[in-house]
Amino acid sequence: MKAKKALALIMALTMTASLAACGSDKAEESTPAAAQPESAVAEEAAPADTAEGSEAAAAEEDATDYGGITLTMMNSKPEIQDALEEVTALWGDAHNVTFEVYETDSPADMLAQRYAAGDPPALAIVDPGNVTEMGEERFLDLSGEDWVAVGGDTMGTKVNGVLYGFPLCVEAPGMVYNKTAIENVLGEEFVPENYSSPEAFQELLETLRAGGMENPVILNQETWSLGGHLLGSNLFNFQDGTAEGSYQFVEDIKGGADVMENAMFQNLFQDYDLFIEYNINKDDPLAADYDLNASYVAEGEAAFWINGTWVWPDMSTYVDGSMDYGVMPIPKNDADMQGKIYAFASKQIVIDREVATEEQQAAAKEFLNWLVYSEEGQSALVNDLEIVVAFTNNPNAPVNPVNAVLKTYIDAGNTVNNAPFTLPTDHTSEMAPHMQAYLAGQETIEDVAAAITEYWQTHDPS
Amino acid sequence: MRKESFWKKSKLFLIFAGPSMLAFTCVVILPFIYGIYLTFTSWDGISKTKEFVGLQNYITTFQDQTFWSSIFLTFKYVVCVVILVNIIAFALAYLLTSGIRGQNFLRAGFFTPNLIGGIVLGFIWSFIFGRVLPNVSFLQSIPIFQKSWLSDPNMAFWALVVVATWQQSGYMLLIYIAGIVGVPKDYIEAAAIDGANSRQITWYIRLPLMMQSFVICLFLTLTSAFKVYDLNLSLTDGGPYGTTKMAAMTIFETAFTSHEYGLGQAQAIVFFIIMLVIAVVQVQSGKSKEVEA
Amino acid sequence: MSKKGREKAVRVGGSKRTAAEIGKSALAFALFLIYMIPFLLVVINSFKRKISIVKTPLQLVDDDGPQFENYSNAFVDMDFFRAFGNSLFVVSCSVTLLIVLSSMCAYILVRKNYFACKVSFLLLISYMVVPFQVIMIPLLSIYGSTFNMLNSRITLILMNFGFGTCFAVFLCHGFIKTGVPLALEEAAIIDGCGPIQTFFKIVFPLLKPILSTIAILQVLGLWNDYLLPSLVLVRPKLHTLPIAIRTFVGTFSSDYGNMMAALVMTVVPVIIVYIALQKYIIGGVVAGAVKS
Repeated sequence: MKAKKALALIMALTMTASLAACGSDKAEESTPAAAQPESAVAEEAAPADTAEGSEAAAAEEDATDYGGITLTMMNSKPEIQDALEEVTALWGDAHNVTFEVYETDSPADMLAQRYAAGDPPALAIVDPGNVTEMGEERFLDLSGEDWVAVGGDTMGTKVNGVLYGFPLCVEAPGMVYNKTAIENVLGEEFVPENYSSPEAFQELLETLRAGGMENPVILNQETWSLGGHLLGSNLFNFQDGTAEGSYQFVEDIKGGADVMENAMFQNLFQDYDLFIEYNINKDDPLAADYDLNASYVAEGEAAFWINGTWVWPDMSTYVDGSMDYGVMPIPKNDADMQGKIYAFASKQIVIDREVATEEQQAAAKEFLNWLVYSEEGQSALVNDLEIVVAFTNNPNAPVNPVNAVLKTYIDAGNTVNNAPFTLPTDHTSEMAPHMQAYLAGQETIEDVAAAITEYWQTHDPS
Repeated sequence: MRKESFWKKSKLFLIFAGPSMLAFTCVVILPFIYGIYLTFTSWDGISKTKEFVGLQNYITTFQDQTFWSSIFLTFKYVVCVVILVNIIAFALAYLLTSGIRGQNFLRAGFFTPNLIGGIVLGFIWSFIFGRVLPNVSFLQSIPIFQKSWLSDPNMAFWALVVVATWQQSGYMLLIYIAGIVGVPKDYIEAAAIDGANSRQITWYIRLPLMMQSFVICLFLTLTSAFKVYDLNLSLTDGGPYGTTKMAAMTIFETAFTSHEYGLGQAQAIVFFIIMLVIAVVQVQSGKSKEVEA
Repeated sequence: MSKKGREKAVRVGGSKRTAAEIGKSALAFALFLIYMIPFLLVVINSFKRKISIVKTPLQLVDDDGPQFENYSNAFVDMDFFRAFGNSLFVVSCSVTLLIVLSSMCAYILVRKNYFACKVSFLLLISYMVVPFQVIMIPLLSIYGSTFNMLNSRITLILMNFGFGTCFAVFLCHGFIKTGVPLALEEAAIIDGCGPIQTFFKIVFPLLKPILSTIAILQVLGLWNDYLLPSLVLVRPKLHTLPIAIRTFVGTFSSDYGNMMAALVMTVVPVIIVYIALQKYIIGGVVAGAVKS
């Protein structure tokens, strides 16, 4: 009889839960309704205000009412999730649009799943590589948008000349440094330009070591860091700083050119050897802990973190406000490439063209316009999402020191941007193990060169 | 027994097994068949077109060294995990049904490891392997504790085995406990009256009568160890330098990261057939030892 | 001590203790501690700020005192009540279906020698070796693109049932075969019970230990399940607890304090359910039933 009681208990629980849950179940499924006739109105309304890239102001006055439609949005930049929810709600409330923002840490998998399920997000924040792979088939052509003129054209991801990506933020891989900690040892102002070559940088590291900072460099062990950025970003983008140069390098490898002979490859490993020699984690480099690494640079225990400008949210936990920070490119031999940082729009917003209704697409476009042209939107990008914007008309200054330094590179034109060149999405997972093995002393530079050659000769990312 | 009519049989079958088999067919068999179809295409997982390529994906699979070395690694892992998990789980179950004080509380405790998953699991264990063990003073003279387990290919493999054992033994423990308490008391009492000692009771009465539990637990540990993915991802992420990529992770990367969905699916089917053969052999050999009540 | 006396001692929770039993207890508690260390680390760190979690994970209490706000933050950020309600609804419905329908299925598969029974059992068993990834995308294509059934808890429940039934039937199958005496059923049939009555009046009560075990294992598994729910329930309103916990995961680093607090809040209900259900697992049910 006890079994009956147990069963009754389970049943009761079920009933209670279903009372709470059943009600809202079906309601939201009806939202992606068929296209509604007024959709064309919206499309005309928004651009009319903002034509010719006129300064901010516009969007707020007569907001279009979208009649309570829902826009789903996939966010692959989890650190901005809360702020993004607020920013979308801000615009959504004014335009009678409900946003449903969900996050993911692997946009490629998530998009593949959502498209397979016939339930793609209306808006998606994705990596440039995802745009390259899926743009032509799935995303809306954004070439005709106003913001193309103020940065969209240079920073947005294109496929065969058609623009599909709205450049959300600019980021740069490089060496994040603790300016204060370096100056405390040097006893003079730290000027990154003075250490642009591997030789000069090595001297600096020696000086720091002699001055008591035993191992001034912090090297991550993660695949995305070693394979994606250290190898991927530097080797391919600094061939000559242009997309053509990157494509040519890939063609050369496919054609049998010796990677070992490549100047940037030699340069990269000259740097990598330095990083390894002065690595704070050198006792057990593959056990490096990302969070501890963040605390080392934030607290000045080491000077240089081989990472990128996205680190601030992870670092800020350990920042007490007494120190200053910045970012610089890894040392280069080629004088033309020295002092230039690879800055790219690392996250792109795309709009679905498969399932989203015309009205949803129009609302999505207007939302993007609002981000670029309205005062509120401009401020939201910089102050709430805390990113460096790709748009030249945005007057706000970046809110954190690392981004502030990146902005100086951008403003001075000291950037390299190889769009539309992107690496295949499996490049990191295939190549990073070799960078890790080199770090652990298990592979030689020749092994890594051979692995790179093999990767490009067997993969055909047409 | 008299012969039942076909209709009566069908009705009985449908009433009892109908709902389960219907749900099962819908969510497993149909997608599986569709999945087999995909192995004959060069679909990349995203595009709208699926080009038919015949057996090409299977040929590539059989020639793919990375895939077979991950299968080999998975075998090694399965053997270690199945043995360790079952020995420990059975020993614990035996201990926790022997009437010690607080056994109910303890049983609940041993399955809590199962409740820690994903990122937290990865964080806690990399911390234990990387920072606790190398810093515990009495362990420092032992070479294997001087560095993080996760930065050495061989030790990272054992780290996976240790964590899997820790996770799963608490789970299998529950099934062994159900098996042990499921042995009818009459038999044990009868044996005791006949003068059997407790070792004899365990060896000749309990163990044969709970053969079913062994079959179940071996089968479950075997299949879940073969399919290991979450643990692999959160603890080592295939590292250090790609040496701990198990079969499921390799398949997942082929299908999703490299955008060769058809090929990944073909690898999965080959992997499935290998597992099926092993599982059938295991269940058959277990069945022959089972005592029919 | 006679063997019979020892069995009695077992039943009353070890009131008569010998040195061997004390040894056993000590061993069990020692192992228990080792097993619990990772969980204890989670609990301890759930009361700390991220900075002290990263720098001194072994420290018992944060320098700034226990950080209860991790719990309140986690509670708000993951929309705990809603996620808890979703989880409770999905898990309790799925498990109820599994227990009742799978045990019926297992019963017929054991007792009848039909061809359909043999095939069904074989199919169910085979699924247990299928990696989920094999059917993931096809599953989404069929039920998303074709039938537009995603973003519904009912769909998830039915899927949980479909996937879980293999495991449940497998466990019940073995138990019925060895643990349920045919004589009882035959007696019931002679008394005029139909097959359904026989099952629910005679067989089902006898399955208590295995059904409670299945219930526990399924509650455990489904409560923590991430992959399938994340594929089916994409809308934030429908998120279950494990999906909600993802709120604290960042691209490179994570919000450990809140995440661990959230984990503790997620785990505690399951432990309570286990303790509540566990008395059904214990006890020599079968032997008792034969006598009555």
